[in-house]
Amino acid sequence: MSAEGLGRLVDLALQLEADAQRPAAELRRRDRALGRELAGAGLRGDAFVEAWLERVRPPSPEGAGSRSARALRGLSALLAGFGVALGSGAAAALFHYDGTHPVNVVRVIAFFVGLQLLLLAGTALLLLGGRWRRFVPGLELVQDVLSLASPGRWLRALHRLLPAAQRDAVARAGALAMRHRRLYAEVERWTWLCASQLFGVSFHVAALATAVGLVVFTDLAFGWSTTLTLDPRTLEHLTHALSTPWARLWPDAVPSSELIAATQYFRGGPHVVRDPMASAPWWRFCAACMVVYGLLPRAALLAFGRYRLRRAVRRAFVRQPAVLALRDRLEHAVVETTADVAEAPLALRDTSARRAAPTPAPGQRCAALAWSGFPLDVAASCRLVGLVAASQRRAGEGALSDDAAAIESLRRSPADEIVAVLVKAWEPPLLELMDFLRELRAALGDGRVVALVPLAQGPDGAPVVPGPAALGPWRTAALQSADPWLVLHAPERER
Amino acid sequence: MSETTPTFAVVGHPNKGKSSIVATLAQDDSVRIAPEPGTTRVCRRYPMRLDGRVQYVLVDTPGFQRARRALAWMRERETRADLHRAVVESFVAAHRGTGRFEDECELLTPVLEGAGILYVVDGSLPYGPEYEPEMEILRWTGEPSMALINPIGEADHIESWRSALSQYFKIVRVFDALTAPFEKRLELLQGFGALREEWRAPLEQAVRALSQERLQVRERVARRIAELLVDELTLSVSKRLPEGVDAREQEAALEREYHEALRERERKARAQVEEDYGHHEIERREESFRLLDQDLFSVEHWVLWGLRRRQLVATGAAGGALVGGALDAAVGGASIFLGTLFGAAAGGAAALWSSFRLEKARIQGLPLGGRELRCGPTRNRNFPWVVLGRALHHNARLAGRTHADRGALALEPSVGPGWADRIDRERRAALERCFTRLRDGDTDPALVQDLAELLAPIVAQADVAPGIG
Repeated sequence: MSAEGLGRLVDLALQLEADAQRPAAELRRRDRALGRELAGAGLRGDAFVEAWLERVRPPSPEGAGSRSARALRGLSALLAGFGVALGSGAAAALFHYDGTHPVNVVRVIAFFVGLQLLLLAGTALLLLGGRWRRFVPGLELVQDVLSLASPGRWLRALHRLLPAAQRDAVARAGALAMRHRRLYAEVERWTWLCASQLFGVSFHVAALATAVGLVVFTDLAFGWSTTLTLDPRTLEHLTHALSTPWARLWPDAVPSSELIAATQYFRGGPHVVRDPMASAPWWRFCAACMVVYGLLPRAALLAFGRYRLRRAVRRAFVRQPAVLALRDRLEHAVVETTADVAEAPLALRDTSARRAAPTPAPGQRCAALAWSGFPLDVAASCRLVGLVAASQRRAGEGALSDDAAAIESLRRSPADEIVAVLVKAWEPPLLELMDFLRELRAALGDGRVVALVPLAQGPDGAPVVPGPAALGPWRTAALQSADPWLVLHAPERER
Repeated sequence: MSETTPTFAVVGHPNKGKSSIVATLAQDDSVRIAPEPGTTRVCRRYPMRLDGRVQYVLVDTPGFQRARRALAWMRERETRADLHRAVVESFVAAHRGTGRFEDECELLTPVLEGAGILYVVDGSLPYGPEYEPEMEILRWTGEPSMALINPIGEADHIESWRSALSQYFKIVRVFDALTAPFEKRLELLQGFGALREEWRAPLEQAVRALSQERLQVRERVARRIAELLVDELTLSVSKRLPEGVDAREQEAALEREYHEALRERERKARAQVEEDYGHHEIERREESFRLLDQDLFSVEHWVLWGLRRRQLVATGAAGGALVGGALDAAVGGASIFLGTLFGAAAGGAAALWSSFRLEKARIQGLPLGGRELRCGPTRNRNFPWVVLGRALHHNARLAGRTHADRGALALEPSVGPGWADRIDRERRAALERCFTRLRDGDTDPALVQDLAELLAPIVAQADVAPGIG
């Protein structure tokens, strides 16, 4: 995976984060327009997402993604340089020969085989997934400790050596990975593994080059020495076992029993190396060990890590939930059905200062008026609400002249009677009624009570007092009327 | 908008469900539905757009307030039937801006501009002759019309309405705006095509788009639920313990924090699902969600939403058998499958034992020294099923809810344990495998997609959800 790929992932993550803060409708419109354009260009599937990113966040040298990519390249170079320095140093130390003590093959084997196998085992432990952690007690802690020692983690320390802009980019990408740990955990994990293996490969290439350089450009004497009681035959078995991978390809790199027997030395002995030239074939064995147990596994792991990193980036790029939502927006038509403009606020008249009209007393005589097809018995309706209907009229139906006649008739009715306007409680109070009540007030003059009586129809067709829900609009209408002698007459319903 | 864009003016008496019909058909819960008459004073347009192109327009209008007087004015000027429309036009021209017949002018304007008429009445209230003037005025406009009987209450006066309306309108349909399922809404929209031949094709296209959009909504919801499950199952909170601090004092606080974080994720997911269904106003009514606000961690709740005991034992046993089987394989079958047997028994027992509680906070050492108190992620096998059951129920309630419905979401009487029985066995097992991957710390970002694909058919089949059966 190239640093550019990771950089584009940073761009994608930042864009998705920014989009999460924007209104969904706006995103749908923007992405659908882009989606139609890209579909017209013949793009489908994953390429769709990449092309979309190109449009909404074109790659720019000053962009966060490009800076992150540059920073990553810089860090990789630093890490590789660090590996080269350490590898050369280690090889120079292990292959050091000043004419006194020969290069101790046991040390070379311990460092370039033993230690490498241990480190590889550690790497393998780090690669074990969640299921292993569940079944192997203590594995999680071991992995935590091992990961602290992983060179990949040194990136955090090394990034301080970068220029300020790249340092910021790394910090930003790190924070992004922290915020969306689950989404980018795999990318982070394989980035670290790749960094570790890059260090390892650099280390081993440099070590090998240094060792070969010393062999070519200086005269080295090899021998083997250990405090342990080590029989040459045991070392022979060990070296033969280690040489198995290359024994057929490079038989000269397999130390013979004579060589092993001839090159054992003791530092305190008079002749540390009896025949330095005869010890030279050891270098082939050492070089083969460095390649097979040091360089090749690291190179293989680097290749594997890069493959997994590429896969992780790809999956994060196209299969994370926000991208699925994005593809939904890109690929599906925007369907809008709601209103263009917001509902205007409801303006209700303030009725708090309105004077309450006197409530009709029980048995009060009234001039009854059935409004707009009131279908119930008028006398029974009045009785129900404690009124006595002295006379009956109808209005709000038929010709408008009938309304005028009803008003005139009410004007001439006895002044000690109130006017009871019987209305269907299940219908809303219309402005037509309010117009009529205004005209009636004008005809009656001030002071005479007009009672608005909404009534419901019972199952047997008889009038009944309506419930509070049906009364609500009528109460509001009465309160909002400018007539101070208009009263809503609705006795409490019997329970 | 082109001249042939189908436009429908929803007209009628005040408070007869015009706005409810508009809210349901336009899937817009911002429509004001109030018991007071006259809350709609100006026309409000609801264009249906497909990728920005208007397919049809619904117009919510004020109700007739002075229809009898308006008709009287028109009759005074009536000469012949062919001039009826001109009289209506002159009525609007004469009264616009005068303050008289304000509502009539407003509602007649879109009709005179060529909108089809959708005349709405309440079929639960008795018919009355006071409706006749407004129906007559609408007839005079000469525009194509349809009557919709919207039964708002329980009483049934539909037949008397049908017989009265059929004298004024060629098409009379019953449509309950409050409870109409999605398919009925589409059917009605398609029916509007009968008003004018040239409207049929755009309406059919609109209906197809709405059906497709509905499928997309279900997929979106499946993804939201998958994300919620992943979030809930991977959530953990931790706190570093300073030297000398009593961990027990910190435990309760951290557990509370963990539970609150789980609840918050559920609340957020619900809000997103409501948004997907176009219900933007529900959030304010969250306190009414009595069922869905029951505590996520109450034992009664887990009995209601989680798996049955035998299902729990089965899922636990399957996991245990897998581990035991691996041991059997490791010894080359010399254990005569005792590993599988014991593994299954232990897994089943563990699943049952831990099924009704979340784990407590635990202390763990840190690699560089020190201690940390950590809560989550939960390994409880029942928990994802509890979360899933609640989410599916929430989805089912929303899927069946119209945008005219302003009531609280209520618990269906049929809610009970065992809802997951209605998910087929293979899918349940596949879901359990996904939950196991999550419990094992699988960080594959594609896991949400895998889960969403499993959930999509369940979400689409809303009657699988608990409480909808």
